[in-house]
Amino acid sequence: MLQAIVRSTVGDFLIFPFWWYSKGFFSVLHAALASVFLWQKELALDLWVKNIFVPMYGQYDIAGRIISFFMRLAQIVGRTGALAVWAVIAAAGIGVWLALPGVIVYQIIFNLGWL
Amino acid sequence: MTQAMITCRVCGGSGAVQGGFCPECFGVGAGAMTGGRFLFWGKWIDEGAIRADSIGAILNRVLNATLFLFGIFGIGWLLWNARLEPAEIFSRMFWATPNSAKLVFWISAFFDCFLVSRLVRESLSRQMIPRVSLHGKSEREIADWNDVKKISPKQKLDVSLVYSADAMRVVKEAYRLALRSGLGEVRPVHIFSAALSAGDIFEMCARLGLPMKEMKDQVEKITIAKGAGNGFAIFPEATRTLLIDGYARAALVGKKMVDTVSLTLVCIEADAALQELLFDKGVDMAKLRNVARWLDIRDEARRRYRMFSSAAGSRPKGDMNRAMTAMETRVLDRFSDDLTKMAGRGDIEMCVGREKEFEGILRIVEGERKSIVLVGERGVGKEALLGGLAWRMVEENVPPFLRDKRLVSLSVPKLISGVSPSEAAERLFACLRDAAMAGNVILAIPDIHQLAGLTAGEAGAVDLADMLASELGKRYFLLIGTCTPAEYREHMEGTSLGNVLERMAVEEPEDDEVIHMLESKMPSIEYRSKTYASYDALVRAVELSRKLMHDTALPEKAIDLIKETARYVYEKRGVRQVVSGEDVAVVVTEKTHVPVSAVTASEAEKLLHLEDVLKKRVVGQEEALKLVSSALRRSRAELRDMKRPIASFLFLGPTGVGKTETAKAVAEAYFGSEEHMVRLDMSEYQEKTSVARMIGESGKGGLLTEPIRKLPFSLLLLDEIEKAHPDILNLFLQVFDDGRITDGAGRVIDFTNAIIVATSNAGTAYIQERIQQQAPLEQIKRDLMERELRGIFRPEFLNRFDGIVVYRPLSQTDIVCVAAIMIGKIAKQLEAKGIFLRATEEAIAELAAAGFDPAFGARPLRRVIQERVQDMLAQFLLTNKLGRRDRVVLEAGGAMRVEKAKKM
Repeated sequence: MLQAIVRSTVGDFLIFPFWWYSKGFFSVLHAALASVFLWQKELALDLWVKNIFVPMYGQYDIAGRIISFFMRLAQIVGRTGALAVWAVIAAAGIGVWLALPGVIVYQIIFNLGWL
Repeated sequence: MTQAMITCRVCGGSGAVQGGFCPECFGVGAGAMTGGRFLFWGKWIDEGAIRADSIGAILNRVLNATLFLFGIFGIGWLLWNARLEPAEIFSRMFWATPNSAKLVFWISAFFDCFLVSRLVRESLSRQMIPRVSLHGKSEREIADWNDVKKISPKQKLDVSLVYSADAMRVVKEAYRLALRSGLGEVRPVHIFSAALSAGDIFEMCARLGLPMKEMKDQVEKITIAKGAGNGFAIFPEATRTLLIDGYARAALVGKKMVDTVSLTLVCIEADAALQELLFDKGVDMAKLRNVARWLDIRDEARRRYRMFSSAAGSRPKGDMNRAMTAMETRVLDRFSDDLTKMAGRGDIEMCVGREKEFEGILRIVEGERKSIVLVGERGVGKEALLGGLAWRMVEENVPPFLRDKRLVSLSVPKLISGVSPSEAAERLFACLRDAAMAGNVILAIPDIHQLAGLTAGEAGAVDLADMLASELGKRYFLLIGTCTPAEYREHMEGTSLGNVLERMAVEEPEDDEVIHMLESKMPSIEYRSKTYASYDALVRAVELSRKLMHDTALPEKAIDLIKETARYVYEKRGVRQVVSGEDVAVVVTEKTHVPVSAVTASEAEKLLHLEDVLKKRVVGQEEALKLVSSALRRSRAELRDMKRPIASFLFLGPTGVGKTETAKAVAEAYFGSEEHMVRLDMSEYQEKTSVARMIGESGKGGLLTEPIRKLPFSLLLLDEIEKAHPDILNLFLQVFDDGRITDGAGRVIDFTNAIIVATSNAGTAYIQERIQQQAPLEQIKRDLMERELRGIFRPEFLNRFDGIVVYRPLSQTDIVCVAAIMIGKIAKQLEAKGIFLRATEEAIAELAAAGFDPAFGARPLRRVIQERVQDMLAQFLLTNKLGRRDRVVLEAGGAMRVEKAKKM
């Protein structure tokens, strides 16, 4: 029984780099995209874009409409920026996931030079 | 639950051949196509596998911990050996030169990656029950195991993968029990026995009031070793079926994983012996299912609350919608409560059930874009529906049209308080304008009928309800109003407001649904009262409130009753006590004075000797008292037809023989006091139009229906029934048959808790004549029914009575007894003043002789006693000839002697 458990653990260890770049990568990608969508929902960017010409606070007069348009534009720019920052963070996370094993293996080989 | 099982022909469904894997099905054994998938139990369980699982789990934890510690060690080693300042780590120079510490660090980082991969894989491997329908899909035809082999892996589902850790532990423990029993196979009873130690099953048993130790002992007796065994046990096809049924049940109630409750329930459903065992303890399948549902509701509430909290967190906090197109609603806010805001803060309780009503509301609001009025009795849950809608709006579990909107409840009392009708009209107009302009407001007006009849303008030209109707007609906003059916009929039917609103009836829910609603409320009730409710308490609260409390509707009255009972138990017995069904009955008895709690020993004694109790008040009518007593005993033991009145009697006989006195005595003996008697003199209902007076008309209750509606547990005495109009007698035919009638206000009046006694003097001359001839009472009764009463009552009317009782005229001896009883009553009244009255036998005989009249029975006796005894006593009392502790002796010749007490 113990032998079987050890065999399975060793097998796990051997296939883990392959898993890292296949299923593992896709699950991290999925999580990153999900977080971006969630953030988008929080920011309600689509709603702001859809309502760009609709006056805010029910101010249907000309002045209200003009002020609302620019206010909404500013909101859209700001919210897009916030979303972009988050998207960059998520992309960086994916990049780290992809690069990490390569960097580690390189550093191990490099530091083996000490021997 | 599932489709027919397909069984492997080699192993016969057990998945095992001679203790090992079946080579044909690889241990699967059997399965069934359900919801487009082939479901099977794929986990192999034997002693070795159980041990391997537990050792594997331990080693897993040890390995993960080791990898984690190695990661920490790598960092620590790096810092320690390099004697670094933390800032140096970020310098380029540091990483440009190789050394041993860095080598160890990077190797540990590699193992950290391995640890991350293990943890992520473990979390990804945790499967949930897929959200697919178990029914409705056309099932693929599968004839035998060869067809199973052709099913693609994606269409197969190993249900063991979605068993919770607890449920899997129960299955493994069941295997061990089966192994110990030597039966060679795992049976439902083994699973049940193993499940008894699971937390949820313990709670189920506690709610059902099942004694755990006794249960365990009894189940152990069933599972105890039956033979030596052969060292292994199989999971036969039947057990595999129920493991799949457990999955189906969990999926049906919306669980994410198969839990111990679902597994235990299907085990009991599959095993008649287990059902018998539980039945002996007063638990049937319906009870079990409802208690299982209780735990489901608890889990669902927790899950929903988590989701709700996250949804509420991302919702705009103010009055503004996300797109900021809305407007401020300053006037509206002054006279209203924002239900969506309150729900978001957690100030509104979750609404359980009512799916049909929600569907109806959403269909009308979304599909027809029409405003609604919810019409239902008080307490039926109209306001809870509004709260539930607010919850759903916060969760965004509503059609897109209702998302990002506010549900605002306008209070009519706030609107109209302290101002004249024209000012109220102005306020209402401003509120409606706010709602229309805001664009994100759904208006709710509880008790919307209150607006009707409020008029403003010259000579009341404008009615507030009409004004609202006119604004609603513009369709700038939607409204959900509430009112009761009577209020709707009186104030809204046929009016402009009634026409503009779509009427939606909210009915009283069924008992099971009310129980589920109570179950959802119990956590907060238990928390506040620091008690623990049994399932029986919930059932009794629903049953008794439906039967005895008629002021409000279910579920509110049941919720109020269980709250009151929990409080009662806390006050009487302290904290952490179980609220039982009997506690609910005791509270109901205290509130209604109706004996619904279990028959106590003293009460049973009283019931068994009821005739003796009645005899103390009624003289010479043994047969009548026996008949009435038997009916009451049957009723108290719940052996009567529950859809008819408790009992109905026709008392026949001359005047003054004790018919009314019997009725009073019964009211006192059964309902606790004479106050529980409703008396109608039927000679006042001789016209055809009297029917309307009896049951009421134009939305009002009647002289018969109203007292019974207010006091359903009472004795209804119909004096001189023969004088009533025949239509009235027809009305009572329905009461005797169905136990209910509908009053003028459209309410169903329940007579099933009433005793009906009709008295009549019809046939008196015949009774007196036959009694003088010493004919037996049975013969007299038969003759009366067949001949004498024919012209007075229709045979079907007479046949509806549970008993027709002939009262015999009183003899001189009977009158002496009556006189003694009457003097006894006066003595009791004097006792309250501290005065003692005694009458000699001669005096009583004299009074009886003077008060006896063969034509009027004991009726003249009351007058005689008034004149000869009470008048004289009154004179003594007023002239202070009688004081406390004095004794009065009534002697022959009408003399009254006072024995003065010694001065203290």
